Amino acid sequence: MHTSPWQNFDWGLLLIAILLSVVGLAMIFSATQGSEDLADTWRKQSIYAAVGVVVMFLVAFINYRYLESLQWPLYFLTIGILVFTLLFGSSEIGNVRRFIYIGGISIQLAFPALILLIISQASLLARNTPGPPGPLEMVVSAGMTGLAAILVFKQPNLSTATLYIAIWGVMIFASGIPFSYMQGMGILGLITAPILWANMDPYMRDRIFTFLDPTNDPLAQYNIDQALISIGSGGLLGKGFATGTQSQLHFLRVRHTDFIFSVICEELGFIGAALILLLFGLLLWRLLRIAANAADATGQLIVIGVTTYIFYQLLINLGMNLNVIPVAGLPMPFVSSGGSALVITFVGLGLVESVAMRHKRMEY
Amino acid sequence: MLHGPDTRLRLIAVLLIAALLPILGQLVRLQVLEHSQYQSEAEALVRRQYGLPEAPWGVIMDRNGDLLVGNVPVYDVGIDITMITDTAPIAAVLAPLLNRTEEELLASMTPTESLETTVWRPLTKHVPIETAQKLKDLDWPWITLSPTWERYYAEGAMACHTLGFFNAEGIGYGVQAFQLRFLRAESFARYGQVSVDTKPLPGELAEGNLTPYPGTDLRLTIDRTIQAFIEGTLDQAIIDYKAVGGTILVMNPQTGEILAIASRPNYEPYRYAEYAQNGEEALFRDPAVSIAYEPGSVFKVVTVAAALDSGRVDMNWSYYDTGELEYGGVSIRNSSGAAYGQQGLQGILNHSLNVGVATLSTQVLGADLFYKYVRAFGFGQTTGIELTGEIGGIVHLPTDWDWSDSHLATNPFGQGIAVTPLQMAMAVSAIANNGVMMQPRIVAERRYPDGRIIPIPPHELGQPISAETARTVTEIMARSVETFGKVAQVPGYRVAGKSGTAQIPTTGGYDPQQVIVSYVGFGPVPNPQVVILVKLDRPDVPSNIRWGINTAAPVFQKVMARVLTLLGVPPSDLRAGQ
Repeated sequence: MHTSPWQNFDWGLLLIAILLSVVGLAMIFSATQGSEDLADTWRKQSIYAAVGVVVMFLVAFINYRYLESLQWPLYFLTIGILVFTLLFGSSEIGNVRRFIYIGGISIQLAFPALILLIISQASLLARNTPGPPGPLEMVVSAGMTGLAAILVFKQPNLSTATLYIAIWGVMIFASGIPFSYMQGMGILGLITAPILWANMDPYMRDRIFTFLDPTNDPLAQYNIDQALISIGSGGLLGKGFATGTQSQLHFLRVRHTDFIFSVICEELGFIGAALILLLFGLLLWRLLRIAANAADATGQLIVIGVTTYIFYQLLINLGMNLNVIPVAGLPMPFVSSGGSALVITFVGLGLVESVAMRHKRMEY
Repeated sequence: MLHGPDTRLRLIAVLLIAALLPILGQLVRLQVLEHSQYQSEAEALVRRQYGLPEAPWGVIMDRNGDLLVGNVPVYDVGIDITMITDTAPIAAVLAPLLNRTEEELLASMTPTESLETTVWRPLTKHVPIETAQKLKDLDWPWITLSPTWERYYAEGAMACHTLGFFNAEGIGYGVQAFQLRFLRAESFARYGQVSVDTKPLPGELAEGNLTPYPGTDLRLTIDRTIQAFIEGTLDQAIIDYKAVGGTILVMNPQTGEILAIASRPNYEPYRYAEYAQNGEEALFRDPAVSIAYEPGSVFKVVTVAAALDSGRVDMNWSYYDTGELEYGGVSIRNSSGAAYGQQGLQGILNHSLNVGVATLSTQVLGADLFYKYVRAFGFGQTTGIELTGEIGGIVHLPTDWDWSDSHLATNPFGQGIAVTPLQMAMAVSAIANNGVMMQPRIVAERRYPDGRIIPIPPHELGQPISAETARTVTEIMARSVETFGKVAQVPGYRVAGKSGTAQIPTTGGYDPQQVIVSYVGFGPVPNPQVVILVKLDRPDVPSNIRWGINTAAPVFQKVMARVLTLLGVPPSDLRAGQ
């Protein structure tokens, strides 16, 4: 009996993603309703969410195994995109080459480039299946990711560069390389780090210092203080949707993007925030289940890469909102305002669905 | 173990969940355990002190409505220290913008014991719009910019003593300080619900019913054109005669309106704080109303008018001038030292005879009558002009412990008596206005913000002499100009006037060199439209021309000629022909 691959499409995953996006739309509405030039943000974001879902189906339709054969072209596309951004990118902040503007839409190309990088990395690391990747694969993949991360760091965009490295680390770990390699890598890292540090330009070091100690930047410190007041004053049940004083009276800055979790905590309280975290927990469960059931190592590593893509951003964003880690400009996936970021996350989910639809027949 | 891919997946799951634990823990700490603390912090942010934008203060115009003092928008800068954690990097950024040192700013940001200052701290006042824009561009919510106004002096130092200024405490000089209660705009500050930029919430305003009330505008009696002319003339006179200071005053004797009044040394009202810092507050005192001088011979017109009005002398009266008069232990001589023989009232003013006026005061009038007239002419008391710091001068009366008979002999020619330039002009204006002295005025009308215009009507201060006496004295003064004081004559007009050269009292006598020269007069005769007083302090010219008639009189002539033209007064011969 011939069965359509759509039978194995993970509708639960899509449902969770849509629920999170709807929460995001509601909170963006709440955070921007009092502002003249931002009040329309939630409508634009809802269009992006719809586009995202459509794109997800389109990507899911592509068999990820075809992409596997395009491993090197995809990697060169990644590097090309990043070099293009360095050459032609711009930003509202002076001398930062981060965004590309196309028809009034600004895109951080480092994120789609990263999705492409995940595919080529997964293909490379799965080359030796059923065995784990050897030293060659490890060194080559480290070099591939390292080059891409440096290009991102040069924009400069430290937090996104760390996302590149984190994804590579988790994928390497998941690929099953022997522990001795990882130990060796750790030792190598410990040796090279001081050398790298000594050879760094002073401004790069400053940038890392600011990252680690935001009190040097009064505005960043202000945002953290206001975020803590927002979250703390929200209490168990919150101040109610669209009635938080911190967000509605604009004490909280960048509240519809990086600090939207603070708005959630203020208005929906601990209960609301915990429920949203529970949704992310369910998302993680679906993603890891698909990874475990993937038909081959490439598929599994793609899913692991996308999972890390989503959850690293989430952890950094929540950590920043709650002041457990330094300020870093990574959004809350699905929830933060930002159209292109949302669409690209759905592209990642499309890849995951592509793997899910072609999974190994385990349920029988 | 830990080798199969599935195991590693499980490990990844465990690690991710483990990473979520501190986040969950922090969430519990902030939202459950420390909730009440953050709750009160959020409430304190929302309930803060706010101020409504200040309405502009009243402006000051000249008699034709041209702006003399206006307002320019500026900003007061403050900082909400509850919104910041670390002040040092903020002070580093603000220091160059606010033109203050980092140490000063850090001190400003440090809360004191007092409760009101623990939330909001002022940083600096009155920054211009350009600086305010740079501060706005920082996009720092803890910086507060309160729009307010700064006084703008359209003509710089012109009429500085008259316009004056006031400082933040409302203390100052000139008409502005005197009329502060009208000029002042009401401002409001109170506690209530605010948004991040310390703007009150709409509901907050609705219940408060607060409307800032702008100040009342003042239209002055000053004529900007005449004022500008006398300022330039005074500067030139001070250069020509190497004087250290001086005053020119132009007024309308029929209404008491001051048309122009200028003194040197002067100052720029806009920079009053700098003068105060340099200890130059003395510049702020208006020499026309706040500094008294011994008037000298111009005072003789008062003595002659008093003698005539008493009815004890007339134009036929005469005395024999021996060049000297002994009275009360002092010896009075004429300034030339000569004896003039048989002289009447006309001769006394023509030759400016000290012996003559001393004869009038000691032998014709006596102390009681003489001082009755001196008081009636307004000497020894303030005129009540709308200027801060007016003084009454010094008149020693027979009832005073320090009065002696010698005062009766010297006062009639303006020695041992101190007057302000305004008082001297006022006394002469009574002669020019048929014996009636009008209240001197600077403010012509008040224009209230609701549109009401309240003119200040002229009013009589008193009548020291009869109209008959006034006409006679006017005739004597006019003839004196026509015979012995031709330098003061204005072609086409009849003017009346009297010069004076007064020694300057020092401790235990008079300065042997320094003098104050002056000239007071009015025109045209009949029906005088203006009284003009010119006074120059310590002219440094050869002693043979160090006299009022050589120095102050030509200046008077120049001003009189121009003012009569500016006021459109037709020449006397034209009027006669009508």
